[in-house]
Amino acid sequence: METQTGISKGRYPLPAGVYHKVEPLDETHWAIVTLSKVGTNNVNTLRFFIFDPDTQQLMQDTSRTLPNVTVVGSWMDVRPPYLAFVHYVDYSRLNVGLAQPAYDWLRHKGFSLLNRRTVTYRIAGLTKGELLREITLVNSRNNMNDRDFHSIAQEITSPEGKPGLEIYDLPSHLWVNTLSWLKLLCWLLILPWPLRFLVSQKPI
Amino acid sequence: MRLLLHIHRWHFDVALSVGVAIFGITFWLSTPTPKWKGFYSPEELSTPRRPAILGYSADSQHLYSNFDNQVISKEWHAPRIQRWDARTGEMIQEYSLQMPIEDQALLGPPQPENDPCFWLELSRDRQYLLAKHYHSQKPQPQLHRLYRINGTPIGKALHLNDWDQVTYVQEQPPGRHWGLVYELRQLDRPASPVKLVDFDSGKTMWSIASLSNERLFSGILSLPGGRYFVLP
Repeated sequence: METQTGISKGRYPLPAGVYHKVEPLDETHWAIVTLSKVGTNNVNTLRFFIFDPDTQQLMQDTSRTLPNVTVVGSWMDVRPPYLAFVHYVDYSRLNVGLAQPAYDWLRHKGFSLLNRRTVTYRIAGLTKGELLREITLVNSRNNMNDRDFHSIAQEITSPEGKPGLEIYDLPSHLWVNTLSWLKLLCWLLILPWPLRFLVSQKPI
Repeated sequence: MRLLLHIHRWHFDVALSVGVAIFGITFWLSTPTPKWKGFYSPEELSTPRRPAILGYSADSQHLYSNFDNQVISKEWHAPRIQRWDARTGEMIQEYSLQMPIEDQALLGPPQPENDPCFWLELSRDRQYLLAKHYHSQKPQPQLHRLYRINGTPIGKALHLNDWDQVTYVQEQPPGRHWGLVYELRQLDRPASPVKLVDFDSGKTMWSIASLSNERLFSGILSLPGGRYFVLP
């Protein structure tokens, strides 16, 4: 068997980006996902395109930047009809619904409990870009089930120092989002409590 | 102001109680709970290396991991694989990759000061494991070998440069096993051609020039009809 140059059937234009994933979308089209750097702080955006290799046309009108998404790190995977990516890596989040400046202030004041690093994985639909599932885990070595993106494995260590692993199912994005808003609303009920001392004592 | 006249202290107390209660419930509900936990239980660790999760099986019913390794030549190790039931967390099987004698000869004597180690990757179609043995502290040729998921070796090992990466190619002709060899982008020199290699014979089948752009990785996609899409 002799070494030869691969016979090219055509060169296709790819959208600009630092990282590409290409997977067949259906019989005649491919899904092309690109990770593009936009600005500083390692924040990237994901865009995906539908490509017709027969006409060699990148169907620009189908390209989308996923809504309300910033991508940190460079992990992403696509298996139509799903797209998985790391949405957020946070060094300080304790998942209590506080805004980021509040976390930063507390950490600055030495509240060491907040020094937990978390990582958020999100799953989006390819055709519409809608967010479907998401999970936030304490950052460890994780392995997403890239067959269906429904579960994720994580390496753990028991209190006795024994290594192991655990499996999580990914809850729906709607559920996670609702709980997140509920936690924020709870602060509206909790924080005004000191104002009770400004109100005169009256019999009930 | 009229509203304030109707607010009592107990309103704040009730709001606080309700807020704390709902917060506690939502916090509990939003904390991910694992379906199961499983722990490795080797009777005696021969090489206490950090465990790694390799990935799910093609039907998502099993999970493969690598922990503990069989010592084959002082410091070189044959990776040991565990297969878990993804629904229950039960470890179903544990076995080692059957590393051929010729690979051990090709690897040569390990250099403990340069940290001899290996790296494992489960193929995208979940039928094969790609193993790489190398010295992490010294740039020198690495040994890549393809194994079936049950641990049996395939064809010949590839002796590649330390900057080369190998990706297993899916859907090749029956009985053949191909890999795409490319290198991580080096900024100070043009990239080498991307090559398609045959694991069965160990030979290069064809090569294609790399494109000098900002993309970090190359890749290959198998298409119906024996066509392949290459990101050079």
